[in-house]
Amino acid sequence: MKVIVIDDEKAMHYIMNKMLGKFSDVDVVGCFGDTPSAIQYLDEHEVHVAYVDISMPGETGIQFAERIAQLKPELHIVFVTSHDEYALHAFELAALDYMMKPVNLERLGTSVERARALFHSQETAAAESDSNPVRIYALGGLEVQTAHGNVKWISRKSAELFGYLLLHRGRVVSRVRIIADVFGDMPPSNAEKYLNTSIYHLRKALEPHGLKSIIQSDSEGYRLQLADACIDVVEFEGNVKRLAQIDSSNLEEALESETQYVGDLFGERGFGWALNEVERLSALYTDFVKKLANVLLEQHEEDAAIRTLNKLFNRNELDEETVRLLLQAYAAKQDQESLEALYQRHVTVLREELDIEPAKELEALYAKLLAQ
Amino acid sequence: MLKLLLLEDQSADQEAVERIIRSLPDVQWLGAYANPQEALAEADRNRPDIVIAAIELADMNGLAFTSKLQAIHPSVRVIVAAHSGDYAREAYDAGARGYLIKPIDPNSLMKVLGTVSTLKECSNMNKLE
Repeated sequence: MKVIVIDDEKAMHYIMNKMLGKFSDVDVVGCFGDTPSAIQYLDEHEVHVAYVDISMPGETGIQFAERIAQLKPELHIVFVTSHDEYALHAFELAALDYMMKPVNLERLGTSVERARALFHSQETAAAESDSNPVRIYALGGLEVQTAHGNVKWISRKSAELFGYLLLHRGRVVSRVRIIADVFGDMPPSNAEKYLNTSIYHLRKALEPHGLKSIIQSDSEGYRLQLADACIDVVEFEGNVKRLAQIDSSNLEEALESETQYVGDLFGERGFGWALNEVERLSALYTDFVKKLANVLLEQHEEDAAIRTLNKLFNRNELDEETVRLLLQAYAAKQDQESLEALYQRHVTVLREELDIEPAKELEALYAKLLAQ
Repeated sequence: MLKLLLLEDQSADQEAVERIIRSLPDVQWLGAYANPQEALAEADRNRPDIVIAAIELADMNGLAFTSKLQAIHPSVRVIVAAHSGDYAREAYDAGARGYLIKPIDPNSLMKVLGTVSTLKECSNMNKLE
């Protein structure tokens, strides 16, 4: 456990160094006479606990703790002071401990024990997340999978919040914007509270998977920071871009990429703020499948073409191009029964839902294919 | 689920905390105890994750209760509650992780619950969940 001491009294550096040195797992990596030099060190080095004096010339220990909470939220603060009037403030700052000078070894021992327990749980979580492949499935639902199994969402809103931060991953989204988009249906005072609770639920749900720290917060808002997670929707989109030209050389890959799209973004969850993104991805998928089906037909892979086109047809029975491709596939397979059934189905749906007749070109194509 | 137990001998304060806690979906209410001995016995039986302990009690000082509870169950996180901030330094000595000023309002209670559950060493808690 790496610790530093911040105190304007040089004698305290000596005392703390000597006392902390008695704990074999504690490593005093630096002693600083003021907070700016400590912050400079913290910027470049890993430190787990800071033992901080409160009354110092320049920035006080309290001001330092406030500032460092934003910069290094994972650093634990232990105040070491001759004043007892700041203890309540220390609780508000979530300081780990508050010790009175002169420091006694037994009390310091309790404090080190407290820090040690926290340090070990964080180490374990960090070690786990290092060897912990994270897979996020956002197509057809919302699942996060780690070596420990699936993340169990504590509340519906916390899952929604995860989905929201996932779309904005790597960027800070302001609290105001989150509230407007995700909690817009409730009065502002409740929304603020609900957001806090949902963040808390979310971290709670991620914690057993060693992922609590991926939800980062600052005074502005929240950010989802994923180091190397595999996100199905990102992979899918990457594949579609890469497979802009489909031919016999990459047909296998294209078929595999098609199967990644197991459903629309977030599936049945139907988040209102995600509608544009759902539409965009759905259009991307549709175009991709049509391109793929054309190639499959050229390559005389009718069965594969029929399988993928039927998925499109089930999504939208009104789409003329899907029907055209599927008719051609059935005709190539000389499956007259399916050819007729499909055309009749399309005609019925057009009449029922739109009260229109099929396009002339499609009618002509159908007649031609039927005659073959 | 976080299991929460309350030590409080004022019925109005008991009710206030219970109302807030019961409105939180992921906190399980283990009950309110006016007597520190009974609260300790309940902690032995049901292993709370969080205990809220009033400091100003008729029977025993809530700080003494906190030290005792921490000695028996070091992983329980204790939030103390008092009418003033006067006991804050002693609360740190007793091992408290959070401090509430009465009357307890929902916002400060939720804030302190958030803090103590981030500040945690309870790998045993993960297993419970």
